[in-house]
Amino acid sequence: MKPVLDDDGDFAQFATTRWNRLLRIAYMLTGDFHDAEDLVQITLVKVCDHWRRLPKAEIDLYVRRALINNHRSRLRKRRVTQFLTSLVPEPAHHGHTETAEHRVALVQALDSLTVRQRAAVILRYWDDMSEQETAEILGCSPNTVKVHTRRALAALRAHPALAAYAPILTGEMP
Amino acid sequence: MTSTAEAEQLRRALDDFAGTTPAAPLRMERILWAVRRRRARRRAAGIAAGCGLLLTPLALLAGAGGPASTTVSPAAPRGAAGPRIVGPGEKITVGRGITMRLTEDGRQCVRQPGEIEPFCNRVAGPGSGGANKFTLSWDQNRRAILTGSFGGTITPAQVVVRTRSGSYEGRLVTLAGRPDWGAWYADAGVSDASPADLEKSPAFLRSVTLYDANGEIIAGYVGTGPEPNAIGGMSLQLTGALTGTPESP
Repeated sequence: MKPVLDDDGDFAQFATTRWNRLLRIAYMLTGDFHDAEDLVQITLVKVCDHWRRLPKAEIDLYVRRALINNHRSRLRKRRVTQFLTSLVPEPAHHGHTETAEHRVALVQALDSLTVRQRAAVILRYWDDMSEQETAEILGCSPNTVKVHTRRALAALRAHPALAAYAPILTGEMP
Repeated sequence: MTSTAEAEQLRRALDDFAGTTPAAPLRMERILWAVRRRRARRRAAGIAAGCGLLLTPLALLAGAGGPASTTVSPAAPRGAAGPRIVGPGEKITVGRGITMRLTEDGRQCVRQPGEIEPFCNRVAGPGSGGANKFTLSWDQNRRAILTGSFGGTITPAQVVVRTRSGSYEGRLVTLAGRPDWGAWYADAGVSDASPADLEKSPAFLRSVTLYDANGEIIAGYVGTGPEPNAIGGMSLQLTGALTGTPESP
């Protein structure tokens, strides 16, 4: 076993506890599992590199900010040709929504959002971040977060892929 | 306005989506290895910069006191030197943050800035089909870098890339004892298009031409295509195939 870096114990504990959640956020951001795994690894490399200088009280905000920035940076430099196939693998269990088609519709609708709108929706509605925290992660004001969220929801409501997914975001509550 | 019920619906839909994330182990040893490499690279860059600062005044002094007749030989045309011969797996830096390797089993592997794993293209050997392709990308200095491969019936002696800003000669790379396949790279200068403007790639890149030893065109790419591949509305890096019957560039 090679000698570990300074503070690696702390970092390893941090990475272990956050890995699954970060992977899920990255998966929702990218829509591709391999991209998501790559994205979280690159982010953790950068976080580990600066670990000693990072304010530990805000580490969760920092790592999410790094994740989203890396995602945006990767989108600008993408290289690999990819093909759109079935976007979401079959789940091992049935969740709250009824069918895999619904999830595919949701992914297609999320794909129509800008990176910041998509990130705002995921952070606000899945990651339980407040408007203030989301603003810090996205590097903008809380009002801008509100605008991103409002526009994202409007786009999701209007997306044709969600037409068959009526109960969600169409205002037709069951 | 978002209702509470609507927010709850969205939360459940996203939760359902997140629940489909396949399980993957955290590979801590790879993360720590990458961190060590980053730190080592930074240290090396710092040492090189320090040495440069120390040696520059000495070089200036030596230049001022040297004989007036000292001549500086012009840079030799790179193509004249023939292909660069490398060993299997030897790292070739083709741009800032972009490296390329050729492997013994016939693959060309290119690592882009910030990526842990390189992207490998099988050029020779069983299952090959990736020969005579190229990729345009931007390095960390915003320079347009082309990396390509050749094989099969095409064995170029020279590669010339023409962009909106001029013509650039590429450098051929082969493995020792394997002249039948290989790779090439070219630095096509700083592009006024930012990496975010990849849609402009076809307009930026005018042509790629491969010449044989007699100066005859043996393969090339001309024009406005291929269109950037798109996924989720985002433009990807430009990739293209070189045909054997290119139009005159």
